[in-house]
Amino acid sequence: MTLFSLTFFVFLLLTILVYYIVPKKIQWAVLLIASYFFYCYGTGWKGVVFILVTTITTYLAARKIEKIQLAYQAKLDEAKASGKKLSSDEKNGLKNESVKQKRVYLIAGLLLNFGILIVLKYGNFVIDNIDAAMTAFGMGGRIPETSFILPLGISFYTFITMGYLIDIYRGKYAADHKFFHFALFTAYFPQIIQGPIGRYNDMAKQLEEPHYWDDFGFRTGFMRLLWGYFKKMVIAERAGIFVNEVFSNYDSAGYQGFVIFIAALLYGFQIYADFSGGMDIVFGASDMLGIHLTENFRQPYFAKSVSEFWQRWHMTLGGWMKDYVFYPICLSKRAARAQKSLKKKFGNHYGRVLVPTFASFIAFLIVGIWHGAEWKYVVYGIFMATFVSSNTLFEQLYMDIRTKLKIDDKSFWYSSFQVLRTTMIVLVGRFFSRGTSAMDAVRMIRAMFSSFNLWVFSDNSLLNMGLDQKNWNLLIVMIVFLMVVDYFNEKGVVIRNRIAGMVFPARWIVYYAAIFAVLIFGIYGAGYDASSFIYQNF
Amino acid sequence: MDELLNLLSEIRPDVDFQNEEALIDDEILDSFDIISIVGEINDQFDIDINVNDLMPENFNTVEAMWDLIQKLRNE
Repeated sequence: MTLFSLTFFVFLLLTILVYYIVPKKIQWAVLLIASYFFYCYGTGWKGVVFILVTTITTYLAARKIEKIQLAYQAKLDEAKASGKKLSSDEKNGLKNESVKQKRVYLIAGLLLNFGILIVLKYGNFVIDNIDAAMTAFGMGGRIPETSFILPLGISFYTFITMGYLIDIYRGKYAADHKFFHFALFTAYFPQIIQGPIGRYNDMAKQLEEPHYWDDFGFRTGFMRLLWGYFKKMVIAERAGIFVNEVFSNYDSAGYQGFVIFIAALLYGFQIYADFSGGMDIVFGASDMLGIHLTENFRQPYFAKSVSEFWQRWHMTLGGWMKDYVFYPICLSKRAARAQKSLKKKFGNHYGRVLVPTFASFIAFLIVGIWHGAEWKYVVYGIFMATFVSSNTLFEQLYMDIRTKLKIDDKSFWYSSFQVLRTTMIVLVGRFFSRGTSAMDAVRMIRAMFSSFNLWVFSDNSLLNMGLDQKNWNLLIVMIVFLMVVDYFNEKGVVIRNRIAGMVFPARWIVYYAAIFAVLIFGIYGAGYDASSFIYQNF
Repeated sequence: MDELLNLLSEIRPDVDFQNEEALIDDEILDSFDIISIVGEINDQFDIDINVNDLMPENFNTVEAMWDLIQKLRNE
């Protein structure tokens, strides 16, 4: 069931209808049934086995970890009640024992569930590389690839559940004692397709509590849904026609210079409209049910540095990496020791930032590989990590250069330069995520810089790559429109709230205009099947 | 407390730590700053702030950081 099918609309409307009719006590059960129906429909019965295994094992491991923690607490309380004063050695002994036991269940849960993800998603990547290495050493023999099914949203629900398990281990909140409620948190249908990677403490209560019909909330949700369709069908799909042509045929067609530059630039808008449009659709759908998901985007193209870009793009993945990869590495005992000796060697500033720099490389490497099992994503991760960490690493140097050149870093021009620079760096990085392979990406970047063919803008050659003049005009106007809306968002003006607050006829004019814009200007036809989301495959 | 303020302003001289009330929520401190701050505090106050203590409410204000230090010292 794609989000653009009539089936999805009917499914969503029926779910909303039943959801608000049934007694409030069982609303969550309606969502659970709807979520599993959606999941089965999308991935088949076989895929359901995997999400069930993750749900059951995470639920049980979390309960067990909590039980161990409570037993430890009870021992402390018991000693206190009986007036017995425990020595700090005894206290530490008890604590270490409980941590050791908890860790067994945590590691088992992580190994099993990330193991499933790794085998299903990266199995063939590992097999291919071992095979290639063996061939290189003359050991020959092709190891056959296996055909794994890749269950819908497996990267997303694995990250969601493992975040929960680590939080329970850290004692951040109590474990869920109701299995079916937990199953809903894992499989909640708007979130399962392409995120956001929600956190249990933001979601669980909302999913469980009763929701009353809210006119205003429904309207803003509906508007957001339409806005998502608009971004996806009118902008992303249209840009995709040109982008696909250039990225697939640049070699055979001999595309160079500005043609490749425009394709890369447009790809930036395509993937933004695609991913954030998809988010708007699922956020809108969820808002109509009265459940608010965790925001995943904040006007990324207004970022002034690559690290700021990553604080605005796919924010829930960045947040996950920060809490469960970056911080644990930086705050480990080994890191503390390393930091001390680095400070002695390289002075305070570099000593302080080298460990987090290393940790951010690891985090971005995982972000890269998270996108898929290919070397190009590894390069993509390293590329991004280099720019993110160089910010901090060379902060002092940059500041000195600015002072020497008498640049006011608060001025409008410098800010604009920063935004442009960030966009360009991200643009180059995207060759690796979009290119067919890492080598292909390098070849394309070379081809981009090999010619200064400004004439492509006047000799009509851009009109022969899938988009005619009318479609180019429309695309450019719509991208400008998208950026204007983002500009308002950046200034704190939420346009859909304004529209939802309008008087009845004005509101409906906007709704109709939006619906017709999607229907008339959307790209369907031969590309209809192509309207699955880019991030759905990650 | 002065000791903590000195330590903080050495890491981020541009931030008015005494008056800011949402250092994390307003994204004044980023994750690299947090790591630097935690490292310095651990060294200077001889405590062990670990990843479980990294909650926004523990780092939003200087007072909150000071409370965390006191709590860990007493453990």
